[in-house]
Amino acid sequence: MSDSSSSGDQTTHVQQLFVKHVALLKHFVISLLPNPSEAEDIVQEVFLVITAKAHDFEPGTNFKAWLLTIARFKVLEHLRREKRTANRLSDTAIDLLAADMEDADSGPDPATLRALSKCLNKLAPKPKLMVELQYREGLKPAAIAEKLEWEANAVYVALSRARSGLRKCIERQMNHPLVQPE
Amino acid sequence: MKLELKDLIERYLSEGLDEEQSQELSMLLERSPEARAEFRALTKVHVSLADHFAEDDIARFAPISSSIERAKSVVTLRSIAVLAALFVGLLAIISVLPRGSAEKPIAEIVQDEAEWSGPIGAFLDKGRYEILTGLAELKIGPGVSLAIEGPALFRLVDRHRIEVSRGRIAANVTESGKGFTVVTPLGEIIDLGTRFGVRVDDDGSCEAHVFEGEIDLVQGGKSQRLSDTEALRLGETVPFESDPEAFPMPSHRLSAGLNGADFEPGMSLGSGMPTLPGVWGGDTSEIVPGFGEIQPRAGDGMLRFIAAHAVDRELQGHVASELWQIVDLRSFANRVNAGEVRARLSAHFNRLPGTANSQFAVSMMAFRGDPRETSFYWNRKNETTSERLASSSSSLQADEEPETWEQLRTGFVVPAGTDFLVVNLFATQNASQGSEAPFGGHFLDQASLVLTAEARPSIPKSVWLGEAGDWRKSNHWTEGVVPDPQRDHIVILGDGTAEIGGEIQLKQSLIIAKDRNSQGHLLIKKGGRLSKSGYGNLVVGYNEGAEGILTIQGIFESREEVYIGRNNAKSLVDIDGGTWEAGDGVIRMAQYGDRGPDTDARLLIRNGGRLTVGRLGLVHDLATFEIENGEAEVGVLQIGGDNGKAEVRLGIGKLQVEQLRFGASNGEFVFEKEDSELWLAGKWTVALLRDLPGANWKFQSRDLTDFHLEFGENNGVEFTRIRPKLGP
Repeated sequence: MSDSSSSGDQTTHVQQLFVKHVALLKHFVISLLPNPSEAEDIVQEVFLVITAKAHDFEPGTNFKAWLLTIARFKVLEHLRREKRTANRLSDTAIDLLAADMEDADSGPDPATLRALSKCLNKLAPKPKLMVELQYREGLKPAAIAEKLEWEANAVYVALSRARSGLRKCIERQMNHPLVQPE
Repeated sequence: MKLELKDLIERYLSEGLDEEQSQELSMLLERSPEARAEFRALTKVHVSLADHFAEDDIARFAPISSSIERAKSVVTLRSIAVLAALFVGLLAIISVLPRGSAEKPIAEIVQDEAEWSGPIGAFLDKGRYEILTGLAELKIGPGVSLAIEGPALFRLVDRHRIEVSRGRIAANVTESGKGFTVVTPLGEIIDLGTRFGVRVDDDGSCEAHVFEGEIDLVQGGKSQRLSDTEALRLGETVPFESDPEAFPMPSHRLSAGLNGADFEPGMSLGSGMPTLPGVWGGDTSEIVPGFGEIQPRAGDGMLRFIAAHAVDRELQGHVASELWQIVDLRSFANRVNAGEVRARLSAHFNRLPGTANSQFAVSMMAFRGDPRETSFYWNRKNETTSERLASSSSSLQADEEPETWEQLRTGFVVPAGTDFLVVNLFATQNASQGSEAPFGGHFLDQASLVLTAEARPSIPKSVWLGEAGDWRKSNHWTEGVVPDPQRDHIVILGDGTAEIGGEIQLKQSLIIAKDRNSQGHLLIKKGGRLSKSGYGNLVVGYNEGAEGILTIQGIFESREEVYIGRNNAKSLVDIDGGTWEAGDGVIRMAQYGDRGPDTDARLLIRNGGRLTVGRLGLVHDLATFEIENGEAEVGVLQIGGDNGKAEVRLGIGKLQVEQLRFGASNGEFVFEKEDSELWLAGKWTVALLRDLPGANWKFQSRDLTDFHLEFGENNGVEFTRIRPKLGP
């Protein structure tokens, strides 16, 4: 290929921008597809699309907007293909969230993840177990309920409390870190 | 149930919103920027948690070099998260990414136990691949699942075509994948919505086997159709019987499940526990199009529990309204007995406000035995019985919101030996509200039972070549190798007897006379011992016209199931002075008689032979159990099935039976000699014996006039010893 060097540069540039914004992208995608492995697949697809279309991107224009447009399209395509109706936001809500996300901060950064890891250690055993069963084992509340012989509703409540607790704890850590990041 | 914004979001993050709740959440988000800010904050915790635990995964698997390869070769949330967070290796990821290609990969690897000739990712693009050894399962789109077993060489052409130049491959193709084509050096196999296998051997020969449905085989411009259970060697024209065990098998959903589980108007509900598979039965209930504020979860109908009865001890003080359905798994015995089938049950429940202390439950049990005896087995569910192999259940206290349906799930891996499942769905209520109190506020909709079989590799097969001689001599077997008793599936064919003089422990299946119209004879010599445990059946006489003989002069031990005469075959197990120790296992004689009454199965005890078995079923057709001279101890003796004639003949010796049961077909119990002894558990009288509940059943003897009855005990169980009085 004659233009391989300039084409390679443009592709690399777009891929570097992708990595820079990947946290935001993940946040956006997972907020539309709460199942992490499903979201993972879409993030992969978005990467392939931006790589293929690297030349369509005008350097200097809003990369975030371009990225979110592609992601929004991929998510909608996926939801339609799956004919999903349950646990699915409306197209209008998705558009509004995409627009908001352009102005939002950058998704979970390393500091947030460090704070989370500290906060998880402070969680009481039961809520911590719930969180691990959902996120590490990938179990849905009904399956957790069955495993622990709880009522499904009790699992929802426990998970909800765990996440609220974590949210507050992370916010506290970020605003008044008790320990400085090393 | 009205949920607040925060609860809606939380449930959404656990993937628990139904359609209506999704609309409610969407509306709140559309209306208010504050709601969206809240949504963003909560989803940020969610994505952080997902990231946190994904990093854990990487750390856990890091030492395995191949998974690092895989993690690098595909961009995943995990690898991006780790690498971006640490800000290292940016160039490293980019250099291994598929550059400039947005083309979709063709196949996804869903199970990988294979050794590939080069590094591969979680997805396969168009191109050539080689598997050195082991099994890989690929998914191509929603419609095609492939199991490929090495050594194999293949090329993915596109989503509708694979070229195989070597190896064994099996495909499960659903309606949406119809037309999928496997190209071999000798021809093309075009799927017509089915399950089939293709093998290409080192010498270039090819075979196509159909397990279910139909395929078109195109070679030299001509097309030939092969259907269910047919196989063909390419280049030849005469089909033979397909052999699923010779192929790997992709995971797939079995074509069994619940009937009428959407509870739509017009379906029939039986009363009492059902005796046939595939129909609902139980306490009185009705299908309603809606009731009060409750609407069906889907479709135009739902089930309303009406009548209730007091329930047993673990739910004391409660009344329950129950529903059952039997799911017959006998036609999936091979997969079930290999421990490969998983059952998942789910159902949705709802109730009216004010029905306090109410619980709903789903429960499922796996049984071996006869589905018609379900109520007998079920009523002993709190005892340890040899019929019940597994059970599981789950329950919940449904909320009082008529708008929401609560889902319950349960499941297990179906144990080897399972004949059928019993699904039980029910509602309970505190009896303090009175068992006559209206029990009409409890509803059920959208139940489902999904049975999936896991992927498995092919099972090596060793075939006895048919010359008489010693089992341990390698020249008697295909490939010139004595079978590996732990790994191989073994078939005994030919008119020469295979003799066992030493000790052999088998784990896989053993089939004596498998092919149509074949013969086979296995002899366990005096001093010899054959033990059969683990998965896989033991069958004497398998296909139409096959004649199998097992002679036991030494010791034979079996743990699971043994079939004598499976499919219109002729077969004999001859306990000739030896011992058959079947423990709690099951022997079924003339199991499948539904293609005409010509399965002829015989079990003979002579020369002082002995038999001990948990269940002996003389199920269909011509089944004969004869003690010429010897002894047998049988837990449950089932004589007769739906058709044909079952016979028990008692010569010199003793038959001890704990439970005697009769089918609807004809049967005879013949005392041949005055020395015959039948020991039956319990206290019996002549009148009771003459009135045994067999439809066309008779106790007889050539000159039988009466019985001698004596009562005694054996190992703490009361028995009646019955001897015939023969006429003058």
